[in-house]
Amino acid sequence: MTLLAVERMKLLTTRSPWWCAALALALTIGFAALMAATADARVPVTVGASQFGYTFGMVVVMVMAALAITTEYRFGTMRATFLAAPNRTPVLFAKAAVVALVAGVIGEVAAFGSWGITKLLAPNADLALQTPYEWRAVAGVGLVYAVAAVLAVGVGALVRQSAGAISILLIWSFLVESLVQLIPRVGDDIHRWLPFTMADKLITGDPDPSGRDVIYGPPPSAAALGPWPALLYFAGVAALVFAAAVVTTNRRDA
Amino acid sequence: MTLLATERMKLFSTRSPWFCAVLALGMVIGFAGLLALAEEDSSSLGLRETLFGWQFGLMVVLVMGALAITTEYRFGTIRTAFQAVPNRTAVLLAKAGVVAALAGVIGEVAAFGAWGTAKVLAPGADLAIAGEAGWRSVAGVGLVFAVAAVIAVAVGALVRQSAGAISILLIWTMLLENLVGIIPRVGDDIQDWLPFMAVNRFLGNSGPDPVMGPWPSLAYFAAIAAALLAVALVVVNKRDA
Repeated sequence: MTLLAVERMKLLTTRSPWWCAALALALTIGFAALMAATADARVPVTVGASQFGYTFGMVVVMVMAALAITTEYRFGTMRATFLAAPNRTPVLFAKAAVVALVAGVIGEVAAFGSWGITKLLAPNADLALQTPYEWRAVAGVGLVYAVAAVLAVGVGALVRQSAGAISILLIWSFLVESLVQLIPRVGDDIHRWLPFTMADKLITGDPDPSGRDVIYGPPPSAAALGPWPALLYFAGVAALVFAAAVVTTNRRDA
Repeated sequence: MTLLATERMKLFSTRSPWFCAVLALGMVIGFAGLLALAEEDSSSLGLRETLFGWQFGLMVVLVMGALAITTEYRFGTIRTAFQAVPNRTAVLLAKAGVVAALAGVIGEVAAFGAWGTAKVLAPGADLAIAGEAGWRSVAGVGLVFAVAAVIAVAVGALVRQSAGAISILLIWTMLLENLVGIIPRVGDDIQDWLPFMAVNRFLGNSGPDPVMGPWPSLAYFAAIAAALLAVALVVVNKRDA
């Protein structure tokens, strides 16, 4: 418990998490407002469309989570931490848990904020949360952010440098996963099993066929699994990276 | 000239530019190799396909350009640099020049390397660099990388932090410019005027009915880089180092 409290203090008393949280909320909710304000009859506002900005929030959350650990190495506080708590595994777990929790809260606030502002700006649109798809599209954002934060802490602990960790996370999630599709024959099959494609599936996947047209939401993910197994798969990848980070951190000098 | 030499030494005697250069070349050329190997019918492999990986290289070059200036703030060497040469404008211009030159070389080597690799691995494909459009899409990669490096140096000088500068650059290029197109009604019109979309037009990936031709697109991209660099110069001159 002490470790959790320590990590909470470290996170909430530095400026960058606050910055990142504000930025993530502003980007997601701002984008939803933009979408709602510019909508017309050809592009009706739907629950899915209110969540277009969730990838913005996710990258900012991943930057926040990576910084939570790389700044410790940057300023040398990691040494003090490991002197105070020589068992490094609980330290990393506490950090990941606190960061994931903050990320989850940011995600829920961003998602429901986006949905709320869309409702406000487009009062006539049908934005009721009825089907499981619609609930996943909104409430699922927090879950995806939390898992992505664990992944980012893992990468940050492995790389130990802000620039490197952030570059890896952003290039991987935006560019590698989509450019893989260009490879002939095997590209699409690889793409279907990549972690962020899986994460997208929870938000955009399996719309209720009896419900509204999906084309008015973010493009449906091509992931190979259903929404919930896909989230589990994403969480599995995050757990693997995090486990590798724990092993490496224990073996290496701080 | 001394300034250029200083900046060249600073750049080449640190590890991150080398690392970034190797990574950029490896990703661009490696992706071309992957595409050439995975293609069953090599005659369907075109010149444009072999250069799909240029975006990887662009990201790495942006990171390199930003780090070239943010690490100076990170390690405090910018103070020494400005004490030795009180004319900050000259320092920054020299840095941008050297970084842009390196980025341009990386771009040319990556593009021709990717083309050559594809030619070797898929001998049956028609990969002749034909006409102005063909040369532009291969040799243009270096020009784009050079201008992009100037943008990265400008953003790095404005933000002064590696994490912030890299996040801004990567989110802007990879996410923001693409997602803007989703906005109903006005999205496409805004997208036409975004800098990295101009790069796409220059390299020959423009859609139907482009808003301007390839070379004006490059000029537009360069103008945005110049404007950002000008803002960075003003800010760096006014602010404490």
